[in-house]
Parts: sequence; C-alpha cells; structure tokens
Amino acid sequence: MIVWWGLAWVSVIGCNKMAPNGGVYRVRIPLDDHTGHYSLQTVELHTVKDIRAMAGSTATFLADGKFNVFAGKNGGEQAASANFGSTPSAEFIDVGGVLHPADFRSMAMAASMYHFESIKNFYDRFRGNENLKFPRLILFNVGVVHNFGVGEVELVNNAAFVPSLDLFWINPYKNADVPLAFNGGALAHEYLHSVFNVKFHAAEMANLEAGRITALQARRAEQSVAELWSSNEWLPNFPSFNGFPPPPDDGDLELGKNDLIKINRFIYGSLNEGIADYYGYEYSRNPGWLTPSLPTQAFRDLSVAKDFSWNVAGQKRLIMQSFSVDGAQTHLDVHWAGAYFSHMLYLVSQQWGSVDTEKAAFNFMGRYADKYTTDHEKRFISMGELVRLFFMDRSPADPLCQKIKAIFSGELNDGNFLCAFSGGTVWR
Amino acid sequence: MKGIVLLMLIYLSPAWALGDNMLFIGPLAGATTYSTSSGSTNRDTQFSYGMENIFVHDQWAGGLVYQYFSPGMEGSQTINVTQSNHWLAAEGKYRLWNENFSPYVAVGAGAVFQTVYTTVMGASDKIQGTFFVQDLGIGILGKIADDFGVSLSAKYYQFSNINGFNYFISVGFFPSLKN
Repeated sequence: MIVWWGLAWVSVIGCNKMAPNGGVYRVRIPLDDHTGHYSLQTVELHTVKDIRAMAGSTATFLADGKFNVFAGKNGGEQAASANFGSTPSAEFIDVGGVLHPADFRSMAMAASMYHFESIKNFYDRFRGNENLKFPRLILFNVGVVHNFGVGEVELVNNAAFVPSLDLFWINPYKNADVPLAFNGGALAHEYLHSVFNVKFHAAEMANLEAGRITALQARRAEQSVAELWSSNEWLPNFPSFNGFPPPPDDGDLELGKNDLIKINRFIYGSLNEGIADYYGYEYSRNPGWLTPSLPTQAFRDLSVAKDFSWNVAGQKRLIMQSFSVDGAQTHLDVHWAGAYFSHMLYLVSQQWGSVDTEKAAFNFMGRYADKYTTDHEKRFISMGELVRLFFMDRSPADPLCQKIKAIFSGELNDGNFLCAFSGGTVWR
Repeated sequence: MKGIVLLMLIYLSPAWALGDNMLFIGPLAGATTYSTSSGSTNRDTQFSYGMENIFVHDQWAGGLVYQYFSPGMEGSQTINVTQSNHWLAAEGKYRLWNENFSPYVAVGAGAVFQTVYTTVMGASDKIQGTFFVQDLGIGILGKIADDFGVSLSAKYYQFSNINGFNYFISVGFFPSLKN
C-alpha cells in the first residue's frame, strides 16, 4: 500500500510539470484572420516561464480580483478597495506537444498572453516600449464595481489600461460575441494607452526641468489625465453612435481656467482613444477590429467615412454642454470624438504606408504631450490644431489632403490648412 | 469504462462470500468544487453524479467510485468551451469501528477522463485527455434497513493542477454476504 501510494505521488509530480519545449509553448487559441473571422490556430509563446500560472517575461496574469471604485476629485476615480487577484491555475491537455486549453479561462488567458507577446514585438519596431516595465501585469476576470452615488454598477465587456497602477485589466464579458480577451486589436489599443502614458510623463518632466512649467502645473497636468473614464464605459452595452450632428452657429465661448482644463482633458482623452484605435488597426490589420466584440461600436470602424463639422467655438460648446448634464458625460464619449482622428490616421496609413504612419503617430504623441503640459490651462487645443500638429513635419499631398479637410470640415476649410503639392514646396 | 464498472460488480457479487462481509452499491449525487486561481475565494462548483460500490470486510472496505461532472458551456455564444469529466477511482477505506454507521477514512486513486469541446464561430473541436487523480477523505457508512444503506463522503482530490473538494451522498443496496 505504501509503495503504491509512493508511486502514485511520484507520477502526480511528474504529471504536474508542463515545461516548455526549447523555451517555447505551442498553444491552440482562437485567432482573427484580419477580417473579423476567428478560428482555432496553433501559436507559439516564447516568453512564458510557467504556462499554468500564466507568468512570463512579457506579461504576468492575476485572476479573479475585485475593485470597488468611487468618484474622486477632479472627475477622476479612486479605489475604495482593491483585490488584485490570485495566480491563475490554467488547465491544458497536451496532444502531440500542442497544449489545448481545457477550459474557457485558460484559453482566454493563453490568447491574451499570445497577443501581449506579439504586441510588444509590434511596438518594439519603433521603440514604443521604451521606459515601460516588464512583465506587464494583467488582471484577468477582474470585477470592478462602480459606486458613483447611483447604486453599484459592475464593469463588464471592457478592457482597460489603468495609468495610476500601471496595469491592464480584462473584465468579464457577458455578450454573445467575441470576448475582448481574444481581440488582439482591443489589447493593442489598451497597450497604446500605456505607451502614451510614458510619452506624457516624459514631456511633462522635460517641461518641468526646462522651467517651462512649475511643479504645481506639472502636478495639475498629471492629475488631469490620471484617470480618463467615460460614464458610458460602465454600461453593459455601449450605445451605438452615428456621428455628431451639425453644430449650431452660437458664437464663441469665454472659458475660465477650470473649464479650459476640463475641455482640454476631454480632447486629450479623445486623442488617446483615437490613436489607440489606430494602433489596434495596424496590429490586427482590420479597420473594424472592434466590431466582432462590440457591434454597437461600429462607428469606430476606421474605414467608415466621418465628418467632424464643428469649428473651434462649436467644439468648446459641444464639450461644455456635455459636462452640464448631471456632471457626467452622458452623450459625449471620448471614443466617439477619437474615431474622427483614427479615421484620419487610417487614411494617412493607406497613402504613407503603415511603417511611416506608425512612426509619425508615435512622434506626434510626444509633440502633443509637450503642448498639452504647457498650454492646457491657458487656451483650448482644438481638434484642428491637433491635425496641424500631426502634419508639422510632413504635409499631406492630394488626394489625402482633401480627405482630411473633409473629415475636419469645421476647422480646416478656412484656408489655413494647406496641402503639399507634388514636386512643389511643402508648407509647414 | 462501463466495462470496468461491470467487471467490478461481477467480481464482488454476492456469490463471493467471506465471512461477515457486506456489499454496498448505489447511485450517488453531490458536488465538486475547486478554486479557479491559487488562494482565491472564487470557486467553481459543479453538480456531480455517479455510482459507488464498496465491499466491506470488518473494518476494512474497498471498491470503485464513478462520478461525472461538467461546468457546462463557458464563454460566449461565439467562442466557448464545454468540459466534461468522467472520474473513476479505486478507494480503500478504514472504518474506525466495526459497527453500523461507523465513520471511516479513505484514500483513492484513479483517472479522470476529460473531454473538451471548443467552439469558435460555429466550428467545433474535440480533445480528450486522461489525468491521474488521487483523493483523501472521510465518510460514514451504515445500514438504514435490512438490505439498504447510505454512504456520505467528503474528500480532497487532485488531478492535473486542479485541487478541490468533493462531497456526495449515496443510497443503495447494502446486503450482508452469506458464507
């Protein structure tokens, strides 16, 4: 009996090992074919040390945590309690050296791990990972409960980068479509937020050290972008959107410093979301990467034509109007506004190519962060100004230029956005 | 698997008599629960059902236990996984005293035959795997009528990287075997 049990324990210890083969795990996961169609494919994980614990040098997972969040000051959020979760126990069946996930959670984490490895390599191509800490921490199946005084709301069908904690979380998915854990575009989108976060801090520190801003101004800039949430993100199903209506002609609006901070913060958030959508496209090679997971977000398909017809004064009114409704952004979402910018980047990418556009967008983030930290309290930085800032080094030539003017028709048709002429002088 | 269970039943049929011996056989129903991540309070609990057969000789007992459990479909309609488990184990028990309704300690070992169906946008894939399983538990066994008895069991089990608890109740045929 004792010998038998001893043999049993030895065999158990042997069975619990799931070591990589030459440092590589081969895993079977659902992958997109760049058109929104998913199928099971065998992929390789190169940086995972323990597949059952989902731990590696690129990313490490914790699972089943819980956050209770309430409204903080300055429109941000604070966590009342935070349980980051525990080390996962992923299950696999080994068939001929290929690990087949034995349950949904294991498959979802394996897919996310694969995408984080690939996304890191994607951003490495233009030094996008500089100053990012690895392994990145991912909280899987984390429950986030929102207490904003109107009862508890659990965040579902979402994934996010949390700047103050420098981690990613993937919330439970309750819809019938493709869970976000499998959506590479969604994960690349969230990853961009971490890259932009680093660029912002770098610009802020550079301006502080150069004496262009004070420590207090730096802290206010930091606080203004610390957490960027839209109340729409808390809804179980994102409402659909078909574009902003044509603006009324109400004239300009005089704004004090606090209002300037708020509307510039909104524009920052919109730009952040728009660029993130763009990089989601470049990683997934599918302009409609989000639709398989969140069909109501079809407006964010980068290939869908869009017209943002609001001039500078109109943009101020549009954003300020949204803040007046019970203090929450109930009908103006940073994702909708960002979709105009991502559409522009998509068109640029078709003309300049992916590599040039990715680099241009990466450099633009630094220029914008520099401008934001010095000017966000002084004046409104409009959408049109962002477009001009993007093309500062390289003006768009026709027909791209005309398309961009059509997207931002409210600001760029007044004659002060000139196009480059083939063979002629490039206007800066 | 069904063949193994049948073989066990035939082997322990009332025709094989060894003094004051008893044979218990009956269906069981219970639950199996395990943590979804190390140290987490988040647990996955599933209904289990099956069959138990125990041959009792004085304070010693042994037999086979079969259970089926499945978490059902997990995921979304578009991408989902369904896992089913057939757990077959041989168990040895030591009854603390040789009386009716004596508590016992038990150790067991066997196999979990796992089937996983993965569906992605309408296309399904099926994979099967076999894992060694071991368990350690306590229980109580006794007669409630001339030829009927009840068995209650609670045990800690481990297979693959799953560590959990299994509880069940079994009510069945429990005759004494004649010499």
